[in-house]
Amino acid sequence: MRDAFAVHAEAVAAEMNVRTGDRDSFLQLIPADLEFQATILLRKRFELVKRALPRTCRDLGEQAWPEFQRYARACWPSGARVIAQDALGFCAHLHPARNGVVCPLERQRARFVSESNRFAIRYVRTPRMTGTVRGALHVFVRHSPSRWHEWLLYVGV
Amino acid sequence: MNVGLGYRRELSGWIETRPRGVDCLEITAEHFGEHAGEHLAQLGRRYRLFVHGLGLSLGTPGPMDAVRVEHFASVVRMANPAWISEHVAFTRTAEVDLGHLNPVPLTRESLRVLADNARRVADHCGKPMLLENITSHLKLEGELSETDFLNELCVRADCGLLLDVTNLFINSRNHGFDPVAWLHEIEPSRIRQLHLVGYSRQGDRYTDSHAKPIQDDLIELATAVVRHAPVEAIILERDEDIPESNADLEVEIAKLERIAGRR
Repeated sequence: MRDAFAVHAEAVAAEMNVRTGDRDSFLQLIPADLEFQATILLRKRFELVKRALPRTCRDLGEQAWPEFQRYARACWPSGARVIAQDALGFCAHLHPARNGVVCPLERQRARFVSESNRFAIRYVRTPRMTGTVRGALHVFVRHSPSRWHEWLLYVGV
Repeated sequence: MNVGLGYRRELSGWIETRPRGVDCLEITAEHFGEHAGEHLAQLGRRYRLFVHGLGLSLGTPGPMDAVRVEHFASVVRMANPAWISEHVAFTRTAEVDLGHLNPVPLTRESLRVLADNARRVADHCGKPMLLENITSHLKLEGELSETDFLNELCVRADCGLLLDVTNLFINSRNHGFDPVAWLHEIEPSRIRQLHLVGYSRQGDRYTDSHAKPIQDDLIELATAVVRHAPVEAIILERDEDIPESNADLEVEIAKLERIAGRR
């Protein structure tokens, strides 16, 4: 919508049903200012998602922020647990082109936090400290909306 | 005049040492959960506390989010602050939660919504309310000037102003106005608390990263505010790139103390 506003502000005003009394103020908005304000908000979103997906973002390196901008430009999660939803959405955006970068533990954690169930067990394949990738059960137990415990139980020998 | 900082988990160790010059803390309500009572009581025994909200979205028309209001009120009960504060802003609409502060149009309708919501929260919490000015890269024209809007808001909401000096400075640079002239249009008796932290630059724009040491031009503006208004507290609002060295934090607090006339 910002892109459309930069090209044809009046059409966007009509599409958004901007009220007559607000129309002049709306049309006086400068696209560059709008873009800068939006980028500031997107950056703040990114910082929160980075905390939820530290390894994933670290492995993306300098591409983390540009990729997040590509994802976030057209997607804004709503409702409860927005940070977890945002993190999950970003993981989905990275799949399949950069699927190897997404940390499976972080994706499962984001998935659990975005849901409301008290208990979950998920199968993941994740590197051990030795570097070999092994299957594991990722177990979650929720104590309150913002507190939970999780365990990783490697399968087999 | 009290001098202090916004409480952050990364600073908790340093705050435990009762650093020189710090006699108040600003608690961000959204950072504390239902089990924080003992911790907040302990902080309250050592420091004067204020509770600051980020997510009540006072500028959004319609019913407030009851869960967020009740969470805010519960933190207020646990912290027993001298006052509470929020922003002249909205963070969500009926359709989407933007998660961060955005400017409201300077219209009488916005004024009514903000004043009503501010009063509602203050009455529910039983504490005086301060409202904070925010940074905006958008210049929203409206029926009122920003200073008229804030003055009338304080009267209608029976609240004070938390003047964020850094936000005022940033807006003045980005939108080309004199911050001291702006200051002198504000009713001085309403300005009770200040926020201060260094600004950042992105090209020719100034931004509120909350990540830099306080610069000299901010100190100059804050000193002008303190001369103009009966400010009761100045809070260092450092959120990012928090110095690892206590000495660097002490330097920032010393700046606030000089502004307050305590050094």
